[in-house]
Amino acid sequence: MRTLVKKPIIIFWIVLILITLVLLGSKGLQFGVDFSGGTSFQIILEQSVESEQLAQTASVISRRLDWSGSKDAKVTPSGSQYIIAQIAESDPDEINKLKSILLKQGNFEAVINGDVLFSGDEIKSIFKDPSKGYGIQSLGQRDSYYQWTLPFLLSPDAAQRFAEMTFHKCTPVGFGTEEEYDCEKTFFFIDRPHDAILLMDKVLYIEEKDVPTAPEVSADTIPIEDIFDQLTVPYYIVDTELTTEQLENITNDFTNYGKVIIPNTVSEVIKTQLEDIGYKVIVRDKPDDQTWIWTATGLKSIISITPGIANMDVPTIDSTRFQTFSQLTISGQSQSQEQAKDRLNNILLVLESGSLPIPIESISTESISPLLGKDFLRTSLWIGILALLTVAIVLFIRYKHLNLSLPILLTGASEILLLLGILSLINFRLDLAAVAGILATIGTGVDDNIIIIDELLRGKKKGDGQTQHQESLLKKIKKAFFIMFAAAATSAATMFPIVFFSLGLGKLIGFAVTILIGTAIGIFITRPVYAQIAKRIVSKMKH
Amino acid sequence: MIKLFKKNYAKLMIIPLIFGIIFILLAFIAPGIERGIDLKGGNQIIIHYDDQKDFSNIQPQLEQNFELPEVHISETKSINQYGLLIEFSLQQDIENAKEQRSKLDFTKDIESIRIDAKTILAPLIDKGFLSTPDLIDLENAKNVDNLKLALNEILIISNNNFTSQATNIIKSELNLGDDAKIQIREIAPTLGQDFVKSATKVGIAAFILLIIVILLFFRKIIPSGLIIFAAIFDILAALAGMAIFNISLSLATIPALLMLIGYSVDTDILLSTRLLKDRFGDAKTSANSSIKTGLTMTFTTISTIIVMLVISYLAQILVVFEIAVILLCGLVGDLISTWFFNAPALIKYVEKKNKHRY
Repeated sequence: MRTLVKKPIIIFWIVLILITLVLLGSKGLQFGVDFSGGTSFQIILEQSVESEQLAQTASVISRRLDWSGSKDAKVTPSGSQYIIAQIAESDPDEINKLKSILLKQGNFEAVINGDVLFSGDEIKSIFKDPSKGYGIQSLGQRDSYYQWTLPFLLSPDAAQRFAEMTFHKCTPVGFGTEEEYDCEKTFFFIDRPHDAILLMDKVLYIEEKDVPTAPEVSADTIPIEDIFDQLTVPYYIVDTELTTEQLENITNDFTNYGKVIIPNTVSEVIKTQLEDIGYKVIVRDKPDDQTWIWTATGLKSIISITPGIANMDVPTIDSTRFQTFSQLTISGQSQSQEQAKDRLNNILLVLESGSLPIPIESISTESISPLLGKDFLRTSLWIGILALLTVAIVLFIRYKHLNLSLPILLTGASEILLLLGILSLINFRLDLAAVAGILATIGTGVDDNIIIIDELLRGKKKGDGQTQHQESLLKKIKKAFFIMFAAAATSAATMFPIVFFSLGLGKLIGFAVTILIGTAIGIFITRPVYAQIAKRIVSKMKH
Repeated sequence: MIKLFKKNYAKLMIIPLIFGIIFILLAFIAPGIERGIDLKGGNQIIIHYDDQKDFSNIQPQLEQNFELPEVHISETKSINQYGLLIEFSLQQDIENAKEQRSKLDFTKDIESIRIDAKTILAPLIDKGFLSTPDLIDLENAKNVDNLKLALNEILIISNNNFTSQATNIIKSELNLGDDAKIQIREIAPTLGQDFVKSATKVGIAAFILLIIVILLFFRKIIPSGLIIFAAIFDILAALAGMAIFNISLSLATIPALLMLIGYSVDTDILLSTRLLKDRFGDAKTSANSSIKTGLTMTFTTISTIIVMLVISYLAQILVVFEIAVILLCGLVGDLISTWFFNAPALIKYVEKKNKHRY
């Protein structure tokens, strides 16, 4: 035993097991939709595109899911025209809602005092070119402030309108020698409601009386009325029941607007009343990390204009005298480079109306309720444990030696452990396919160990049909490894194409990946370990 | 010690021949293998529940309400778990509308396109898959591009409405609450076609790689050919099993078939290595000594698969159950192909070669 432990491969094996245990203990395993419950969307685009464009489309989809309030969406591009999105939601109605959100092209509007400054189709181009100022700059060497800048070009009409509407929209503040201004804000919307009235309950209204000016909660606040002022549609703050006046107004509004947007906190009574009038009721849930008003109105960003843009240095109101700027920039500061990049990308996407570079052809879905997922996980565990036990029983019946069959179990279990460790390391989300792959790995592992023992035992027993045992142990092990390598290579040959062509849009990758990793661990670590152990046991039996 | 291979071992080869023909008949002629939902597109709902429920109304309800050509319902039960597998095809009116959309002439002026689009959608409103407010985007579209997008979106919404109506019928028939154990899959036909394409590519690539790997390891045409032949035979056995147990070809079963190759060639490789590399004894003794090892390997694997089979049956996890059936049939096939075909053929090959040597 002592000499065995000194073998490098055994030491390596034990160290790896310890590392894996620590890794699994601290990081744990991630579970896919099969086990945690949720939905996976398989999106096909209308045509295949370059990988860069595909990644861009994927990020737009991810952002849209964000906007809709689905947290932790995992969006991955696959092949040249597929995108897979996984979310934790599994309620069929919610899934249908998300599907239409994914499909819809957004309508961008920059609004000041309720009037449109410019809209998405008036943006001639967005310069994603650092020489025009696009990108992120670090401010100063020591402090950790990063400035992001996004330059874009407006159509001449829009530029003229912009200049007129923002003219002198700053008021001087402060007493210093340098002039400081407090400037008006522009509101960036995607799909600002035009055909739907807004209705919110008092409780929520009071809660959101002061609205942050940025999606982050820590930002400055403005009164909620400032946002209402940007809308062209009527809005109502209601109690648990509508007043007669409200009911009358809302009924009159129906001739102009067919839909009503409400939070889920509005009472059922009112909901039924609205439906009775004929409204299509759209319930927008309040996202955990945002205000309802931002989500419901499609508000994406609030940007202050600058004194320069507002022509504060031009004293007259004669519009021929002031400057029109067709090239504008939006900029802001963030505390980290990552944050700055995030903000920049977000605004960029907003200006691009959240539009997908490539239209979607179809969306397929697969959803599993969390309870069913739990069942799947429990069953998979049982199968794994019982499979190992069965193997142990069969091997004991065959070899009748605990010291030959027990190490098979031990190395087999360690193989699964190491495999799980690697899956945890690469952040692989465990799914049913992966579990099937792990089970397959147990099977091949045991097969290989049987080959090792039998090769070592060959010619040892009398009446084995072979009278010669001149072959050395080393030669026997070599032959056993030849068989195992050939078998492993065939497994790899059949599994590799699944990964390469990403069969089933990643749904089956888990299967192939676990078999490939498991095979590699087996061939290079656990089989050599078992060979060492078995060699010792067999040579002891000789004496 | 089992001594399968005696003097007249060549006669054993008649057994795999007969089985091979039976497998081919079962798999490709009758009953044959069907394509699953994920390869042809459609809807699949799997529901688990604890007490027996009456589901006899679901099929007529779905057929009548939606005029569906294909509705399959099968109940599965184990000791304390009931399961229902419901598969239904795509709704014909929606598919027709999609078809007509693709034929629309978008070069016409926007108002006449709008009218055409509404004509296409009219039957869907009649059937209740769309309501008038759903058409707002179509009404409001200011240019042809927006109109195109709106139409596309409305069609997908109509399909959404169809599936959620169907799901709701099923849920209310079974009295299922919000916490139901339910799995819903909806596969677009185009995705199904793509899956078939990539599965074909994967199958071909896997086979070519397999041939290359075996040739690299054994470097002799006949023994390599025999191993590959055994792999084909095993797959045929699994396909026959799928036909008998009514398991369709799907994203779960295709990799199982590929995995079977890896599993089953183990014993063939063992046999070939021993026969070709043993310096001592004749081919027959080498083959006979391989039987014990090979059988141990296959039976341990089979016993783990039986565990998989039983537990997945009890817990009603269809995917795992199907994979287990395929592997089991394939491994039984492997017993036949390895010991009744590959072994006798290899013995013959080695004996012939040795004769030349002396």
